[in-house]
Amino acid sequence: MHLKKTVFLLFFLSTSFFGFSQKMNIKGIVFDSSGVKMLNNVSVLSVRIKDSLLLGATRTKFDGAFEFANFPIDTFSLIIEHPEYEAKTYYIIGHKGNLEINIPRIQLNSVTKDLAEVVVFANKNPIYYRGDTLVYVADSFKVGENAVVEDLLKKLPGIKVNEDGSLTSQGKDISQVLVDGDEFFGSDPTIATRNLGAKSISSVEVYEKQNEESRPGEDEKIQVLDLRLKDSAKKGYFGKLSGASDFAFFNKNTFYESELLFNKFNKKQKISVFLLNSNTPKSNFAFRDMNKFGLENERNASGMSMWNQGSQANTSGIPQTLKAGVYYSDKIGKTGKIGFNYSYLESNLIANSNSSSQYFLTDTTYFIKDSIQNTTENKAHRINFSYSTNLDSLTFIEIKPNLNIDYAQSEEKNISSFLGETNLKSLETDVMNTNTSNGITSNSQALLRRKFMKKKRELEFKYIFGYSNNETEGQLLSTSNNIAENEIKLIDQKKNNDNSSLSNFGIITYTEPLSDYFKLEFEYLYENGLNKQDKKTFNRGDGSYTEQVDILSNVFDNSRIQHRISAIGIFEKSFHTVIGGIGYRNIDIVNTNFINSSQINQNIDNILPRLSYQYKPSMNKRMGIYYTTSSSQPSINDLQPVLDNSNPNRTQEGNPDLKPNYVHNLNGNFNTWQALSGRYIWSGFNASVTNNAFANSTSFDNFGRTISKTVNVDGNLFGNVYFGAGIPFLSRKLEIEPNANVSYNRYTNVINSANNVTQNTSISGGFDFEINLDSLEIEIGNTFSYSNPVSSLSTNSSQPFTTQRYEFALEWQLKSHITIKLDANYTINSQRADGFNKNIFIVNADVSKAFFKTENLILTLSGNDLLNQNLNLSRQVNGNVVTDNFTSIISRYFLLRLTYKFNNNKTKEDEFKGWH
Amino acid sequence: MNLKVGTKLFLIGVLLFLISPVFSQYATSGKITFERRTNLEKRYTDKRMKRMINETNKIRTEKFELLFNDTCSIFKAIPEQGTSDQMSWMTSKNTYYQQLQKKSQLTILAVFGQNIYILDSLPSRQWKITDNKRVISGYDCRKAIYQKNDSTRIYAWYTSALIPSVGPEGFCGLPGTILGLASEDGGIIYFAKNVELIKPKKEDIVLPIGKNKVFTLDELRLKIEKEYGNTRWGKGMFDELFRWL
Repeated sequence: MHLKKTVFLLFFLSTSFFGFSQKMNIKGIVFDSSGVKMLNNVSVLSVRIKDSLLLGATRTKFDGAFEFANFPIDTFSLIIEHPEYEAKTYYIIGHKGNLEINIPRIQLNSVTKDLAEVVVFANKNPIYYRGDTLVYVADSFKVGENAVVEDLLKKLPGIKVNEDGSLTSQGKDISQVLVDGDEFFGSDPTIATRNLGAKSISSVEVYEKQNEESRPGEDEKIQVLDLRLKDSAKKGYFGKLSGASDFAFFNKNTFYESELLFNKFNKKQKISVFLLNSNTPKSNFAFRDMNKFGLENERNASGMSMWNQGSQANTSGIPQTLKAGVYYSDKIGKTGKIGFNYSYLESNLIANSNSSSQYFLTDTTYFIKDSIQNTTENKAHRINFSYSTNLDSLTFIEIKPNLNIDYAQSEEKNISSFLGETNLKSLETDVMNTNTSNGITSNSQALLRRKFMKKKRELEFKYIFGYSNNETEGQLLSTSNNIAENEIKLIDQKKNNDNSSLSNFGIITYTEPLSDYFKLEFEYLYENGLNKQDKKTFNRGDGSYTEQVDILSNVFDNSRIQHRISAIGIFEKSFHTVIGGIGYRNIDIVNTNFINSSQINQNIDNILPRLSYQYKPSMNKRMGIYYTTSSSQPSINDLQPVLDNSNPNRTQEGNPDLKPNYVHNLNGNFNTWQALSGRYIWSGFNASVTNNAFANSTSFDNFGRTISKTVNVDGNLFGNVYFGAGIPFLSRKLEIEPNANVSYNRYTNVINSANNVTQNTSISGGFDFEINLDSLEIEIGNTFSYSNPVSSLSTNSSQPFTTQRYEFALEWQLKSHITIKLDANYTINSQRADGFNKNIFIVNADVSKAFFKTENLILTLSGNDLLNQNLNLSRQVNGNVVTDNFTSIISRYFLLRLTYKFNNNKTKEDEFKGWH
Repeated sequence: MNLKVGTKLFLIGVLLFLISPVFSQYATSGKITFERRTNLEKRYTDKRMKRMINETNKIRTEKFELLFNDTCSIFKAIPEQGTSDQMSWMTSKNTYYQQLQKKSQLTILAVFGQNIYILDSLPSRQWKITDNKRVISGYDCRKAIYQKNDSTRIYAWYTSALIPSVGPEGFCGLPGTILGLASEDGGIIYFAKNVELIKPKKEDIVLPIGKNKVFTLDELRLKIEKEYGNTRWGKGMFDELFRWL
């Protein structure tokens, strides 16, 4: 850019005037510096002066001649450039009396390497020193419309831009160009100076800083130029405030929902505050809001999966929820990230449920009808902290401590009737449990990952600390009335139960690449765990609970030490990925019963192989087959050797001889998707075999009351095959989505010491239709499912049952910002126990109107379950038991809701709408 | 690196000049290796996508090659060596085949693994010429600016020493070959890493269409507008498609 420009102004006065032609012709002949040789292929450009637009370009022919014909009249520059010679520029002022322009001799000059001139400006621009930092206020220096930072820098006194883009300030080299203190984009300074628009810069700062990479003897300080961006784009807030109520118009008890979400950001610092209070099934924020406001840990706390967007999911019973908290995140230094969040959750639930169970034994069947009233109150504090940073370019550390404090109170009243084969009532019981528990849980982890100069070589240390302590105080009041013998039994007991667990996991993983395609991964895992249970039960005698019941009390420890080593080979080449490996595991388990000083030792060795193959010929097509093995350990409740009589009709007993299970898993999948047509297919299968599976062993007494414990059984099988597709028609206005699923499940449980094998086959399938018009979306769907459980001990429990479900959903956007939403579900249950073959029709509707230009104020009238039919009905088949369950849940209610969304720009605040 | 290539080219130039003064260093054919650097942090504004992006993977580097002579050019990705990584779906790799005399361009857009064929005339863009110059791979390049729309500007550095009007990602229309191309925010940058003055073989610069359905650009735009324009996510999904078109 310091090439000397040769400028000619051409005012040709032409005598020839062609009246009809308003176009210009320009021609010329280009010679080399000797002025003798005509130059071929020289580039000739015409660039309009007023906006630098390239109007035309041509090359000289072998005779050095070029020509622009039929050119519109304009004022433009003619640039003649050649790699070996200096460029030459002519300014041509077009005029209708000057249409033929001929430059017969254009002689190019040799490149002269001038020393860059020192440009001196009148120094009336704001420049000042802040400490040792020299600050230039960018807006004070006028630059052109398309100017980049480099153009700005050229205007700053004292700063010099060299031909190759390198910079000097007061004659000293600038080693680094930063943007807001961070390296912009690699180490090439010109990427920042030549790509950033000058208009986005608020100030340019020059200072010295310590050189991180300096070696002894080298200059320890380097000069950096820091481009400070304007703050306007990096500071602000947005939020949402919403309140809804039915103003006690329909029900005596007012239904309400209120919600506040607020997010404030300043550069990299973010603070979110939230509050939710409701007595409707809405117990959490909508998925899109959790995303928008960054409430990552709320999603997990509610047990909601990423895909379950139904924050209005039917909970069983009548809930009340209060939720509040704060999230904070910031960046520290160049790579450090810090995060903190605290949330408080209070939830109450009143649930009433009825169930009818039929027990099938070889010689007889029982019916049990239960009516359960349950009141629970939970209070929880959740505290999470996280910090991660790169210690250097290869080392990354992260720590994530977590603390949960829980308080729970519950009261459960269970009235049961036991009926014999002839439907005659033989026993009636009334069981009342009240429990209060306090718990502390921590699940914290630390990670150190180290990369090496060799690509893909990696070493990782991970440490996980788990601690929990839970103390429960409970009371059991039970009355049982033996109708046949007219005998009434009472239980009045107090129970103290202390559970604690402490575990330490250490995992070391090392990855070594052997070639571009093949790498080995080694892992060593060490686990040290201790579970303690201290359980005491007291009978009421003489007005106080002093009499310890020994068969219901114990002190029990379960300690385990696990070592696992595994080696995995990973081969990845173009479309193929093969992973194969083997693991060896040893667990040493010691179960100690301090009451009778007995000890059970288990030392178990497992080989855990895995093998998988994935084929991914393109981004939209993949198939794979995966074989894995796993083993999990029984819980302390399954192990502890005393009876649990919290429900005296269904007593549970631990089994200290229980072994870890062992599962073989085989999965396969095939998926394709075509972006342009929108057609997709997903399909696959799962199969598993479980040995030493945890199964229930149940003994029945002559009323049908049970004592059960967990035992190991072999040969449980599960398999299913699934398929689904989406096929759009009529330019995607209509889409058909069929799906099907077939599954088979074979499992064993033990009934009165005899093995009972249940085989359950179920088939389900459905069709969905979607209609997408500009302002109207309609979805119609149905699913049908058929289940056929067959049990080996009794053929009576082999009753197939079906469920049919029809769905309709509509969203219609009318003019004047009115939206109508409607969804309807119709469920047909058949072949179930009497009274449970109910058909349920649920219709929800919403009408909303948005106000203001920004549509940020929204008034909504929503009606939930307009037909007042909502029921929670389910059937479970478990071994020889078929249970139909019915829970009363909130049915019809209406809410009038006002939502206000806001942000600092006073613009339309968009909802989070997915990936773009 | 640049310097080295520059020095080499200079020596070759001097040599050629000495042997036969009739030769200029103008070239009409060659093979250019481009490196594309995508800053995923800038490319994606969505929070969920951002969560997948960290300091170590935010810059994606991919290689492309441009083979050209005075009548046609082909721009395509160089297949990656070794393993395909998790982030590869975050950028798309398109192929362009230009016939300069027919003024036609065949574009193969790789959209989520599917190829879409577009046959249309060469793109015509309005360029603004600046006085900014820099050296890329030993060639003096001049910077030109293309104002795609109100918010997007694309910078191109071209050299007049390579005569065909070609460039990466189907960019052409400048008086020479484009050796550098960048979006204004630096989110996506193409830079020539190596220029070989060879004559590409015939078979290397043929692009078979096969039996695939071929759209014109307007047909494709219309189809997407018609079929995806009314869905919330559909338009966004194809924004990337027209990033460079």
